[in-house]
This record gives sequence, structure tokens and C-alpha cells, in this order.
Amino acid sequence: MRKDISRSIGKVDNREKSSGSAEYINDRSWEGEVHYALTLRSSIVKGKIINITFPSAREDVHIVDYRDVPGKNFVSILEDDWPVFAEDRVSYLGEPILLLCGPDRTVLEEYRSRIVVDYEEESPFLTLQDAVEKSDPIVSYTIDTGDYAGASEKAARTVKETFETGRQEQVYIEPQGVVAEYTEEGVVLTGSFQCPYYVKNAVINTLGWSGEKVRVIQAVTGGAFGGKEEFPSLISCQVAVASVKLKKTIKLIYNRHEDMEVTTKRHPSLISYEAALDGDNRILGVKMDVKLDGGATTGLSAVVLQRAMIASCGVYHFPAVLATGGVYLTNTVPSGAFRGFGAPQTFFAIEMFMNHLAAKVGEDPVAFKTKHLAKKGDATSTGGIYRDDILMAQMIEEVKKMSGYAEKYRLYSEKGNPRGIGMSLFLHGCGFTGSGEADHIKAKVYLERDEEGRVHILVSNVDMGQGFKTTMMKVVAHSLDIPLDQVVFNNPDTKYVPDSGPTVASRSTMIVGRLLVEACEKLQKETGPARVEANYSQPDYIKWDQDKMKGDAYPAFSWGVNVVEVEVDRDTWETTLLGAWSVHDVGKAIDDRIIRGQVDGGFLQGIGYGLWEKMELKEGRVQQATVTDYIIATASDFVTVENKLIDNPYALGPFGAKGAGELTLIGGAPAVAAAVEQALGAEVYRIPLVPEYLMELKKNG
Amino acid sequence: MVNAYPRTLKDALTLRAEGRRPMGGGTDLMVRFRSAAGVLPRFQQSLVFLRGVDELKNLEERGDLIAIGAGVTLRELCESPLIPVVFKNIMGQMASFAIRSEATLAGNIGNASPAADSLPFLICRNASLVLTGQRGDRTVSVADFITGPGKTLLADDELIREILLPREEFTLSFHKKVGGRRSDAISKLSFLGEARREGNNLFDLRIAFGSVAPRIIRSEEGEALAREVFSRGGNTKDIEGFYEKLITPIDDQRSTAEYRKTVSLNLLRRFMEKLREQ
Repeated sequence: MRKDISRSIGKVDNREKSSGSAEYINDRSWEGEVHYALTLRSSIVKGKIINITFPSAREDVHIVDYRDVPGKNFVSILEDDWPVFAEDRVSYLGEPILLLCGPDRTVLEEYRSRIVVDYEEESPFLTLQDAVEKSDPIVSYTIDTGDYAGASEKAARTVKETFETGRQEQVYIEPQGVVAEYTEEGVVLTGSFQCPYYVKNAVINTLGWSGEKVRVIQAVTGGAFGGKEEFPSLISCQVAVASVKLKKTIKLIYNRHEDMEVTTKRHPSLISYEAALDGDNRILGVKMDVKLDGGATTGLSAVVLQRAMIASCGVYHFPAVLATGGVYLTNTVPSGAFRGFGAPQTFFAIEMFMNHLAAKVGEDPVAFKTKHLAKKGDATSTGGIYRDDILMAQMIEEVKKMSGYAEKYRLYSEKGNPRGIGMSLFLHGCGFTGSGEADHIKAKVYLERDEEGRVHILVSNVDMGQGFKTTMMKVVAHSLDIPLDQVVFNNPDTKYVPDSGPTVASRSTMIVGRLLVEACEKLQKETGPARVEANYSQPDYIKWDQDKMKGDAYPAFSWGVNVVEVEVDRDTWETTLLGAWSVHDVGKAIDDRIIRGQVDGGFLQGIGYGLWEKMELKEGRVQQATVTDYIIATASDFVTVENKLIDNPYALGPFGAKGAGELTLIGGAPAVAAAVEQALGAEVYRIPLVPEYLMELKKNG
Repeated sequence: MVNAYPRTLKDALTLRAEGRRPMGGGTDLMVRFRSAAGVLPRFQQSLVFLRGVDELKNLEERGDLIAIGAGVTLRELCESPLIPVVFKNIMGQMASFAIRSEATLAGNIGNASPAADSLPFLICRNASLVLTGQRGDRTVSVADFITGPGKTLLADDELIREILLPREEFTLSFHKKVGGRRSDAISKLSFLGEARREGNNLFDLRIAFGSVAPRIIRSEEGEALAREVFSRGGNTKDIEGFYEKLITPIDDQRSTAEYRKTVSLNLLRRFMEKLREQ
């Protein structure tokens, strides 16, 4: 008899990770002569490059710049505005201008220090506020569902608030790194990647080569959090160009400082909400506006903005929604993918807004939120339908029991109490937005049985510490009813695996896992060695109009509730965590402990976003560019999370599973912010809630 | 490059006299001179690595003093029964376990950072250093030894040989390190207040502030004022007013001058309250 799939097994990569034998990209050795690459970067924020003066040429230093790009000098993402190498102008501090390649890194460093670049500086936009005042958004959308103008007219009162969120840095285990090998068949790129096919397509575009000459292999990847979604395409294009020019193996590894200064961050945001309330304090509609700081390039910002706007209603159903949003470019380090992808910004804002509204109308925040919860059959923010059961009311009751929320909330409401407790409610749409899966990704998986009867998983999604290998191996082993050690899942190599899409958007388990289940069904009909494939097809009922942002934005939603308890020191304004509780609906956990890993890590990363992780720029330069100064929590800052999973199987997910990768981060910031508000007795409108801000907030009333 | 690994103090001093910079655990220097990934740190002068010198690893009671050799690591101090609990707690909050296993107390002093976490304690306790050179030894107080950020009285041919910590008892030791997180953080500010009170008699009172001025703040005048205010049951505001003038912090990537100053004074007030409640 088959066991419950959720029962935890040891992760298949436990041994290599805990023994230290796992070889990350910088640990690998390479055949033949290796040339290292160092990047020459813009030392100004914005301007024209007038002239570059090099020290006298050396045989062991090679320069690779935009003139060496055989194809297009752009990283292929959404828009062609991210140069592989700057040509005649730079638009942010640290923008790559050229690579220096050679066998000795010390020589390269010394050579780089003597290069002089003359610029003609131009006046930059250094902040989002600056760009909003003086420029137009490079992309904007509107969601118009119901009739907000009508709701506002009927309203007994309207309330408006604005919120602000800052940058966040991923701080993955190993900094960015990629190696390009030049071979007779073409160029082979190995690196720390989330999306091997993004890298492949970007390199094809930049080299102007055909696909079969570009091969991409994922090295062991120790965490990515979105930071290895699009950025690796940039450096892969650079080393590919260098490798082709010099016909050498080129190795580019960032150190932590460089990584923190120049790689993509979470988008800073300005979010405003207006609610129209009727005489019974029910929300008739909301109007929201999101402005995102895209940094110096468009990158993935348009899609991030879509997520931020689609999340406008939080977990609630409002009869009318009018959401507008825009991405503004500033002369700062590019913003990019980060776990949550626009949703954490909006959820901070909507959850705080709901708390504040409850306070204004004199209701308990959880009771106020509960009466606005979306239910099965309700319309989503984009006029789609919540098709599946929503268990939020039950989940709220559960978390209340676990945390003693009601009693603590009452106790801490007494004036002058240094403690506070806060609850956040959140969801995350699983998979690509709208018809992205069907129109753009078109995921394909292979499953292959070899002569010894072992079954090979051939997909392009990666394990980056989250447990994807173990999860998929369990899915296949259970589907075929074979032992786990009969299943093989090697790191993706585009020479062998089809494009099953990127490892992003909480899609891998739900979408790719489901395709593997289908492939298993096909394989069971075959005997002996065989290869089967499965291709994604979108459920017929999913309809999405991208231009109007109308319809079903996601096929399924995962849900969560967080409670955080804190104490704020009135002398130092430091916030100490006292407790953290969560309940999640991820459909069905393929492995309880792996989901537990997502919960612990995501919750802490979300709390960090709300509480500690401050990254500010001064004259375009990242001020907290070391792990010393950028405050991610240590184990001694966190508490043990008490978590509960509620089964709510999704018909189209493998064994009922939905996405879980991003969900667990989203509620951390609003929960801790609500707790801090209670402890402080003051309303907060921006994160992170560093002690300096709390002191200022309390001082200025 | 680190290319001198002496085994004896004599050899270490010979190498030091050649103009080499002393390195204890290297936990400051390796970071300060770090280079691109995979490239060796770019030290501006040659180094002499002191780890192999067993003569610097002494840790013992010597009369009224505890003598701590320059080669003793923070971890060894945290694990020693000779070291006062308050100092163990201070060191236990420095960096991380891995770094404490390498870093030496002498290195933390020699690095002379205004944010060095050991300094408020050592200066509060009137600790001194034995400096040794080819011309002989001399003893200098930690307070005098540090003349400014990164600046000390250490002569070009000298090494810190040991730290001498007087053995003293206090009835109240209130220490607070304020950093961005609970471990692995560089102080935004730190405060140490110590006192010996028996009944209504206050026999001793010492106050030190870290990270809020170019040097650690300790003032005999301020301590006298604090004793006086305590005796007459006066308002702590007077003491705060005195120290406010000495506290001259900066804005940087870790905090703001305003925060550092306000919180320092809040902690001073909290210390005086604790003293009253004792």
C-alpha cells in the first residue's frame, strides 16, 4: 500500500550539502587553461562615456566589450533595454562596461585599477519620488472591475492612505557565478541558475548563434530567491562573448560586495489605497495605485507590476476595484525578480490599510477582515472567479488557537504595553500570470526509462535548496509505485532536457509536477526502455485579457495566515520577536518537512523585509553592500515557528499540490508590522521598521 | 602576504622590527584588505602571523590581576573560569562563533575601532597592556593606548604581549550592545555601567559608551557627578546633560547620529534607574 506522500523523507541532497562536498560554481575545476574575468564598471550614475584610457597592452590581459558582441548587445528579457556591455552611455553606478580576461586575477585587478574612463555626467533620477515627479512610467496598467466611481458616490465615507516599501536583497548562499567553455560544438555555460533556458535564449540572442551551439548546465545552486532568475542571463552573455572571442574557458565569479552592489533587488514601491465604506462599515470598493522603482532597466518590472496590482484586493472580495500602476526608471541598480514578485509590497499595504480602517471604524481588525474575506465563487480583483474552496475562516480560527491571539491582543491593547501581536492574511497566485504558461512558457517534460529500469526526470527546473529534486522524485516514485532510488534527477543540462520553463512563480511543483504525473501515466503504458513527454495545456475555463487585465489571472491560489508577537524596547526601539505562528493551504504537501523549510525560511525573509532589511542608496550607491551592514536575521534573532498545514487538494496539481515557494514570505512583513504598531501605539506606513524609524515615528507622534 | 610564521616571541619581535604588521586571528585584516573573488587580500605591508607563538597564549591569575596573553582567542576567554561573567557576555555577543574562535582580544584592541566591543569594558575596568619590543617591556593603560580611530601608541617595533585586567567586584553591571541583530553585528552603540553599592553606600561607579565618539567615552568628572546625583537622589537629567556633550556620533550605513545619541542617553538613564532599584 502506498504511504501518504506528505510523509517526510530525507532530502536527496542532504548529504552533499551538509558534508560540504556539494560543488558550487566556484568550487568546480575545469579542464585546460581557465581565463578569469573581472568587470570594469561605471563609476558614475548617469552620463556619456567620452573616452577610455587603458594602460599599455599586456599579453595576459584581454579586453572584451560591446564591439565583440556578434549578435545583439541586449539581454533578451521583455524589452531590449538591458545592455550586455555599456556602449556610449551608462545609466547606473556599477553598470558593466567591459570584461578583462586573463589567467591571473591579481594582474587583472591591478590592470583594472589603472583604467581611466572619462564621462560627461548627466543629471540622474536617484529616487522613485524623483522619477514620478519628472517622468512618465515606462509601463502602466489599469484594472477596472465593478464600478469604483459609483461605489465612491454611494459611500458614507472614504479613507485614503499611502505606503512605502524599500529594497530587499536576496542574499543567496553563493554569489553570482558562471563559466563559459569554448568547445568544438559551441559554447557551454555552467552556473548558478534558476532558469537554464532563459540563459540559453539570452546567449543565442547575444551571440546570434543557432540553439544547438549553446548548451547550459545548472551548477549546484544554493538559494536564489529570484536573484538568479534574470541576472545570470546578463553575465552569461558576457562570458559567452568573451569565450567566443578568446576561444578560452572564461570564469566570472562575483564576490559578495560586488554582488550586493550591482545585482537586482526587490522593487521599492509607493502604494496608495482609497476605500469607499458604506454606513455599516463594509467596503464597497477600493482604488489603489502602485508605483514601482524599476531601477535603470525595464527587466521583468512589467510582470512584477502586474502581480502587485492583481494582489490589490488581498484575500478580500471588494465589489469594485480600480487599480492603476506604473513602473518608473531611475538611475539605480536594476530591480528584478524576488520571491513574491510584487505581491509582498501590495500585501504589506493592503493588510496595514485594513488594520487602519478597522481602527477608524472602531472594529477589531481580524473581525473586520473576516467579514470581507473572499469566498468560493466570488470574483477576483481582475473579474476572474475563485473556483476552489477557500478555507481562510477556518485557518484564522486555527492560528488564533495556536497563538492565543485574542487574549494577547486584548492584553496588549492596554496603553503603554511594550508588546504587540499582529495577524496577516495572504494568498499567492500559482504559476505565470494570465496566459503566460500557455502563450510563453509552453512547458514540456520528458520522462525516460533506461535499460536498468531507472526512470530519469528530464526537466529544466532546478533544485536551488528548496527541495525540488526530492519533491519531483517523490511525485514520480509514487505515481509509478517504484522505489525512490529508481528515480534519477540530475541537474538540468539543456543538451538533454526540454524547456519545462523557469524555476519561478511558484509554478514548478504545481505545473511541472503535474506534467510529470501525466508523463508517468504514459510511461506505465510502455514496457522496457522508453521516453515519453507531456506538454502543458491550459484549462479551457481560464480566460485572460492581458491588455485589459481581465479574467483569471491564475489557475489556483495558495493561502496563508501569519501571527507575529513582538516586544519593542522603549529605550533602544529594537523589536524582539516573541512568537511566530502560521497556517498555510498549499493544496497538499508533497513533503511536509520540505514545506516546513519553505515556511521557516519564507516567514523569516518576510519578517526581515518588514523589520530589519534596510538597503538605502546614497548618490546611487548601495550603502549596505556587505552582509555585515545589510541585516538579515541570524538564528538568535528568530523564534521557532509553529506551523500547520491544511489540506485542500487542487484538482490539477500533482497529488493536489499547489505552489508554496513564494507564499510563505508574503505575510511576514504585514504581520510583524501590525504587531509593532500595537506595541508602539502608532500607525506605520513604511517598512523596514528599523529602530531609527520607530524612534522618529514615536518622537514625531 | 603573510609570509612570516614565528614560533617564538623573540623571532616575532625580530620580524616585527622589520616593519611587519602584527596579525592575530586575522579576522579584521582579512576583511579590510579583501579583494576580488579568488584573489588574495591586498595587504599594504608585510605581516607577521602570531598564532604560532605559544608564549603569547598565557591566561592566568597574577596577584590582583588576570593576565591575558595576546594570542588568547575570544572563545578561549568566553570558556575560561577566570573571566568575569559580564565580559564573557560582552564577548559572546561579538561576531559569530567561528570568528570568536580565531579572533584575539589583543587584536580587537590593536585594531582600535571606536566600535570595538571589548573596549568599553576594558576601559571601565582600568585594564592595561604590556607592550613588548626589542628594547624591553612597558605598561600602558588601554584608555591611553588608543589615541583615535585605528590609532594607538604601539611603536613600530612593538607587539602587545598581554592584557592585564584588575580583579574587581561590582554589585551591578549593566551592559547593552545595540546592533542591527543579535549576533554577527557591528555595534551601532554600546553602553556599560558598573557600580558597587552596599546599602546606601555607593563605593564605585563607572560609565562607558562605545561607538558614539572617535574614542570610547569614559569620564571621571561624569562619574563623580553621577555618584553625587545618586547620593542626593537628584535628577538623572543632569548626568545626561553632561554626557550629551561628550557623545558625538556620526551618521553612517548602520545608524544615525541622532539615534546613537538618544539611545546612549536612554541606556544611561536605565542604568541609573537600575542602580536606584538595587
